Amino acid sequence: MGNEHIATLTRRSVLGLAAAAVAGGVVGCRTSTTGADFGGNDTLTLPNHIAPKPVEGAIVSAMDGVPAGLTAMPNPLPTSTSGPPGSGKEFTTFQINWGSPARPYEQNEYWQEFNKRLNVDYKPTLVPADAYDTRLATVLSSGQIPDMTFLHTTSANAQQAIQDGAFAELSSVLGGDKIEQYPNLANVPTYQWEASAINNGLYGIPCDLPYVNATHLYRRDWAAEIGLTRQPKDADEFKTLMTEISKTRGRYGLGGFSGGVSGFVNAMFRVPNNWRDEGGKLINHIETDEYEQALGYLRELWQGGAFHPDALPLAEQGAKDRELFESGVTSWQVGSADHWYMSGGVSRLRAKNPKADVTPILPMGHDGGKYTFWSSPGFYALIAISAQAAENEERLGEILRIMNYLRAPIASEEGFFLRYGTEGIHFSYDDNRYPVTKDSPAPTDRDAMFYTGMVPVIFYYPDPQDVRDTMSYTEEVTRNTVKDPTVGLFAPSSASSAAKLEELTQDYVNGIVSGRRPPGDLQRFRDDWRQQGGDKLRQELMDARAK
Amino acid sequence: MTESRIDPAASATAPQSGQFRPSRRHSIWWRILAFRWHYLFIAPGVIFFLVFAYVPLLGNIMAFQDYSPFRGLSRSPFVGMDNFVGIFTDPEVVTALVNTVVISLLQIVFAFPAPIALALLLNSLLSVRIQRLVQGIVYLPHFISWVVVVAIWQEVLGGAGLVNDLLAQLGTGPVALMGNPDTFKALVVAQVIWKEVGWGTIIFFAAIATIPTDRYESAAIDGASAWRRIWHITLPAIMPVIMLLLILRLGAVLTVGFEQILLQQNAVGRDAAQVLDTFVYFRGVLGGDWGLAAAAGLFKGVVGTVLVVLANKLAKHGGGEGLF
Repeated sequence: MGNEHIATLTRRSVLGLAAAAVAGGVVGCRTSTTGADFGGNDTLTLPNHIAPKPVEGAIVSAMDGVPAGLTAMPNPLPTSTSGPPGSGKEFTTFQINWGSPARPYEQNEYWQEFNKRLNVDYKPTLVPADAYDTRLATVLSSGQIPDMTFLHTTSANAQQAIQDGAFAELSSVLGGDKIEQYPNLANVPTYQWEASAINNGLYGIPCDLPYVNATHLYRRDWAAEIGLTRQPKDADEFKTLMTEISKTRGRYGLGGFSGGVSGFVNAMFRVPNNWRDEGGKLINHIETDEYEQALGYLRELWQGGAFHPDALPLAEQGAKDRELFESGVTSWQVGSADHWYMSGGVSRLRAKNPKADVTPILPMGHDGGKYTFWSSPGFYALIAISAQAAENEERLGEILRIMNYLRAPIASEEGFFLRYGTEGIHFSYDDNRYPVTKDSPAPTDRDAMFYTGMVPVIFYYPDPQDVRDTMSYTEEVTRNTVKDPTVGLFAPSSASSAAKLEELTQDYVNGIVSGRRPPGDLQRFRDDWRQQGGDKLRQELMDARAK
Repeated sequence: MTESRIDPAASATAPQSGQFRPSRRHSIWWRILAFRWHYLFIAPGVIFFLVFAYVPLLGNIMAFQDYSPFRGLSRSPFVGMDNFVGIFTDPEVVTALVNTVVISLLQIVFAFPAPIALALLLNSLLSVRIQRLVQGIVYLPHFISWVVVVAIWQEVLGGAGLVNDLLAQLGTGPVALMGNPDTFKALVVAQVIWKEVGWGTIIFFAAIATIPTDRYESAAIDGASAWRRIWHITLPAIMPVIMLLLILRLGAVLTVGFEQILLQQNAVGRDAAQVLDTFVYFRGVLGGDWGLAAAAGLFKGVVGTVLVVLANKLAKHGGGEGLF
């Protein structure tokens, strides 16, 4: 998985992270199918939090939402569970596959070992990220909800399904100290439970996501060529840098006009994260002056030629956009630290351009002052349990035990297997005892299957220096984050308006930035946005907060 | 000799129409039994259409429901005509409808006759080897998926593509061929022609091949020029095929390439590139508003059916053969 995470998040959150709040509740995990029980569940007992066991040699940040860094894996690895969690029964999942398809069971060593270790008959449905909504709708309409489902709470289909009672509400089995029988689940930080609770209900285990899951990189060598030897310190310098680089044939300052670029520029202009509370009234970020400035600046970047000529199509081709950076065509790119340092983003660039000097770049305040980067809600998705499967208490306990195994930290016997597979088959140790992926078909199986959404994020890369740099970069940006005041609030109409508003936003923003629309269309955009559901969202969110 | 060999075989395969002539007096089961081999042979086709074309038609019920995939057809509440009201009051549908119709008309005017022209052109080539070679080359793009086709066009005509690279070397500014909303519809039609012209040629080429050569010979003896021969012999002879395909094409008038357009929509924006199919995708699949999307689909189907029936009537009225 690359920075698909951020790509999706920023794109979605452009519009209204009522998204993260979503959906209506169904009381209890039985089968209330009408969604008529909204708001009945006022006394939510959040699960207790138990800090993860300290790992020798780990760098632990004092800040919430910053993952731990690891410069060396403990040897031997500690165990985090006792005995196989399953009873040999079938265990079905609906999960995302970021890569190539996995091979069938007979040839798939990862799958075989998975079944053995967990004592389950693992039957995953591996869904390409692009096909998420279509496949989710298919699974939902089949009536056969898998035991464990990866739920994007931003997806209209997922929100509808939660309202329809397809998934179990878990507070009765995980609330308070009940979670302590699943120690790895108890490691989930409290703020993630708070942010992911829907209408006072827990509809799944939050999928771990740092507040800042982005590392922005740029070509310092190209900057030096045009005479800028230090990091640009304001909007003008950044614009000069990006447009000057594009003047060299075959080079471009920026690639696609992606959510990542918007996020960086929004940070420069201190655009509020989704909503801003102005004396009790919620103002959407698109209604602010800061947003207008940011949009105008993006337009200037475009007019100055900073973007790749195919920036709009590239915005939807994340892999190709990143490849342009890695092959030395574009000068700036954003990705998760995992993408750069673990999946080889940076080493691919250096392989092609040995002299490339690539280094992280911090957002800068447009006036040389502070920047404010949008914090993620702290979770990426919910890993939900089928309401039908949960009707049987014993079965529910077994599924939770399996999920407890799947949420094992990477620096444990269980988590290490889930993430890296088996030595000699999926990886081999290098001189520093770092598990290097083997050049064979087997690791493809692992990469297709490991992403259940349960594995907690950790910074662990071949070069310990990259780990330390990523830690300090992430801390620095996290320190300057701004939160979305509506995280955790529920807006019922979001299920029906979110996708429409997102499409509307993308169309106007692309048009204004690329010059297809005049800058004055911002007013039309705001009006359309309000009429087509924005005002309704605002009212619902304000009502929810007043409760 | 030949006849005597066929006859016993025919009688051995039991009741043949020639022998039994079943009439209305016989029960339907008897008649089915009488023609059991015929029925057996059409069975796979009928089953295919029943399962994959007619049974799914029942799903159109969701056009009258507030459909949710988890609740399914049986448990989703009925909302009457709300979804249709929703469609016809949505300004986005108007844009989508206009774009769809414009693209469709452009395709009928430019992309539909293209294979006919190519078939005529190929037919006038003397060398059969060259005919086959050209035919082989032009129909290959049919087998390439739209994702790849769009990527290829991007590489050639895109902002950083081959053509613009060449222009830059010549010192002229870049030309936005791919991302220009004003020329987007022409681009879409050009892509369709590039991809499908060779494939369409096969049918027309086959139709031309059935024209007896003696007609051309007598026309040539009478002194008809090549153009005259095309106009008076070839075109009238393939007219039934042209009409058939045109009528079928009209049925799909509200269907214009979904993938092709979706892949390029972001570059030119919705005003130029929102069509009914992409609207259904955004609103139904991504937006979860399945009822509204189904209503739009049903509307498309009804319009298509009406057009096919009308066109067929017109064709018959004009003395042609029609489709049914």
